[in-house]
Amino acid sequence: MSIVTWSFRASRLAIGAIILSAALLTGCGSNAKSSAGQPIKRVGLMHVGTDHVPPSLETLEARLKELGWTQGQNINLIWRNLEPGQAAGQARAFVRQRVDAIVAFEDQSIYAAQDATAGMKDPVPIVFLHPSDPVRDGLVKSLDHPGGNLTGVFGPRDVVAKQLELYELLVPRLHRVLTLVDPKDPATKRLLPQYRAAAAQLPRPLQLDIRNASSAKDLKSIFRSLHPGEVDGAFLLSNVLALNFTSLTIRLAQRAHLPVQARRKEWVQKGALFSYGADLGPIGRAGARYVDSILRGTPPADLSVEEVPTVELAINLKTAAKLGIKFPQDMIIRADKVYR
Amino acid sequence: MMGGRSVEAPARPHRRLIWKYVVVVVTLVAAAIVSVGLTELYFSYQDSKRALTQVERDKASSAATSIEQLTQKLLLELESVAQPPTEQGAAGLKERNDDFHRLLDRDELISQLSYLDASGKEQVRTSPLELDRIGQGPDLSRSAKFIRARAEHQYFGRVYFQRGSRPHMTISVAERGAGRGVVVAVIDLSFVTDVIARARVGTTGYAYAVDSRGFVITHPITNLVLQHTNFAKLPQVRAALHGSVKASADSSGHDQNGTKVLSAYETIEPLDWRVFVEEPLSEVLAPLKAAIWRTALLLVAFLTLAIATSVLLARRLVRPIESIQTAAAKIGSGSLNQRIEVPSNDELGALAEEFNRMAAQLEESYSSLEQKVQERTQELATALSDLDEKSRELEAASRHKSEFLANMSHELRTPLNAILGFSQVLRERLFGDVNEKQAEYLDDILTSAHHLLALINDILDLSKVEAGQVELEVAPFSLREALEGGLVMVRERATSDGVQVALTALPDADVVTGDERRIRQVIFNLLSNAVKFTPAGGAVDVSAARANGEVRVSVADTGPGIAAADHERIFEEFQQTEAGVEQREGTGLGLALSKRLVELHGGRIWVDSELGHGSTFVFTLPTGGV
Repeated sequence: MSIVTWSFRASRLAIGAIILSAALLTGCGSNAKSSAGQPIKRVGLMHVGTDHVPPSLETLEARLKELGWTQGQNINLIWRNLEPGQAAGQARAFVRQRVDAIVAFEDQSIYAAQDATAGMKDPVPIVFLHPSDPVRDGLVKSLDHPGGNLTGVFGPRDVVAKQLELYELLVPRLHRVLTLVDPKDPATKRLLPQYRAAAAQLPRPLQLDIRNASSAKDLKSIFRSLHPGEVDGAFLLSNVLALNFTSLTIRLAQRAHLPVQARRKEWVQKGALFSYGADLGPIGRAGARYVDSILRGTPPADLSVEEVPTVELAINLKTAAKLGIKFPQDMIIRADKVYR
Repeated sequence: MMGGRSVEAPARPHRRLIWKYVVVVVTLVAAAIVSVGLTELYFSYQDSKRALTQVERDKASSAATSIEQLTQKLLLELESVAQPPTEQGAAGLKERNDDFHRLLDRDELISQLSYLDASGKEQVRTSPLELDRIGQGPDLSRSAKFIRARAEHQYFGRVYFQRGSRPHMTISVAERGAGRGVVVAVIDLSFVTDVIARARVGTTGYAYAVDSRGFVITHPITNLVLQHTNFAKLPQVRAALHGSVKASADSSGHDQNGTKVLSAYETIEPLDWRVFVEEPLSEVLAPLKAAIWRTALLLVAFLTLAIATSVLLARRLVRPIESIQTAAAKIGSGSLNQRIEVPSNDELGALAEEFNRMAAQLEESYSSLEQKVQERTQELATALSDLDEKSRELEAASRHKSEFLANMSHELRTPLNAILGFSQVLRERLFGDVNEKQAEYLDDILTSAHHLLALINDILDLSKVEAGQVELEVAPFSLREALEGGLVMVRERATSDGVQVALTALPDADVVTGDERRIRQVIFNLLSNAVKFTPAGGAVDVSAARANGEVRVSVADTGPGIAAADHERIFEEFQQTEAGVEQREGTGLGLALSKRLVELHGGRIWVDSELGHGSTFVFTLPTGGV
């Protein structure tokens, strides 16, 4: 290469370098951002009991939104409210669709989801919300380390004794209580002794009229058979009955001019005399954290089960008035929610 | 004129110079930018860290204050129910139960309340989850919550996890007044979660609280709380738990996953908890990333500029140097009229001018030198021509001398043969008797004639050798036989002179290649000399041996010896030692002829001798043939 040619090329190189450096200097500080689209996560939500929607659903959705999961954008929440017989089929359907997680509300849908994922090599994670007792019912190995594909949040366990205590405080004339139990519900076996003991321990021991019922027909039949003054109030003890027939029982009790207790304030609004039980809103909010963690890749086995033992007392003054019951003033003050 | 060498291009020295410039300039620029950039980054980092730790500290302090206030509020509430009831007995207990219910409804942090009487027996237990219990409770007089509350008025229990889940703790307050019972409250510590969570800083920062043993009471990762994680092993937590300082705003540590964090903590006094506010160190460095990028871009830009500038600068400097170099190369190859044009008036311009001046002087000197060389060459050519002529003349003279000697020898031998023949006939008395005197003279004539014939023969041989007319008849022959033949020829004289003659010829030196007749001539010459100069009673030893790739023949005598000064001379024509002259025998040509003949065979001949100690004549013959 001749010196002249080389010099010419060197000049061009130098000029090019100056332009390049100027461009680099101009470009200092500029910052490019890119966004990457991610597949929409699918979460199946299931609940048994078509006569109501669990209050935890709304808080769950709201909390998920706060955590960055917006329906239709990056998450698809598939809500299924089911009749008791549909739970198993729907759970299997979710598994077939390979949803990223199943959120199961209450025992029946939780058991259905657990059965549908049992034995799977890579089971779909299940977030349970307000089961009766996750350890005792075999949902998890321990609260700290669930160990399987199920985890979630549960509320206060078995407050039937406290419900009975409040019943007596709210209804001073309460002496004999029509207690409705479903012998097929495994929970009955556990709850009944606590209930009986509580009735005996109360300052004014109560007499219990325990009747078996497994269906609407049974319930109707029992209420039809009641004689006036035979009982002073009704009590839905078994979980299955409370979950599926509270609405019906309220109607039957109203017709029989009897008060009936409920587990949640939603029923009080619909005519039950009072409710004492878990406040499901906080449980829904807490459950959203599990869905979030699972969708971000944390195995459910590593997510400890959380207990949210918040309970609330709701009373219905209108129902009380209809039944001629006058709540003690201090009880009205104690109530967390008063429907007038 | 001076051509013949081509002008070669310089071996790209300018490129190397440019790279030297580039390296120097780039190094300087890079060092400047990197040092400035690093300094700026270091101080930015320190400022950022300091500011952040201060924020963390403030947040931790604020959270601690909030928790302390909450605790104070709780204590006040408990104080409000730790009053003797207006009624006594069961009614009083019922009154307490109602008070407890009201408090439970009012403050959701309290999950259970109980009352222990002055003897430590639990008289009332109120819970939202279990049946109220009034009277006939267990004896808790030995429990810390009873003893310490009575001693110190209030007591904060350790954090525990109720039913394996949420953290709880017990607070008990002793009654004032005569009764001295104790109100015990179970507190659900989830209430601190929100307060602590508010203390987080930045986007990835977080806050958590641990109790005096390091158990996590609240953490944004709820799982850590639910799994009863103990953080006492984290360095910042360990330091906070074991240190005497209430708060720290300049600590680094790592989280449960080992990620480095910037951490600050504050102690919550009554509870002996620590609130930590932390942020991953990567977030502290995040604002510096832009600065790092800026510095890197500046570095690249200025380096590019530096390269370009150094290339341009180097070109400006290198071009005149290049011109000088090219001109020097041309001058070096003979173009002395070459001049350099450097327009700059700096040192390089001065160098070019100096160079041009030197070239002009060189050109001038060269042209006069050329003239002188031409003259001398002419003279040399003439001298060479004369020399050639003289050489030719000498050659002719030498040839003529040899021809003359050869002819003369031949011409001399013809009448000499007549002299010898007729003298011999007369001596043999073939033509009649001769008297004694005549016979004596005839013997003298014969002797002189033989000597003359020998002389003439030697001269003839020598002249033939010098004229290059001798052609060796080379063939293998027995050296031993040749030596023995020589001995036979001298033995008679040796015997008569009383000289002992002996031969030692090793077998390996037997067969040699050469002209046998000439070698016999040499051997005879040496032997006859030896016998001739050895006095009676002396000895002549002849030996032959092979050594160093040649055959060596030596003839040693016990004669008078030869002075070292004569060692060379005796091999020249007509040169004899004093002994030889006295003997009046010999032609003075024998050794000269022997030397020529041995050398014609490729061998050597010399003498080892010393006056009074005899002489040893040695000659060699190459074994590889002639």
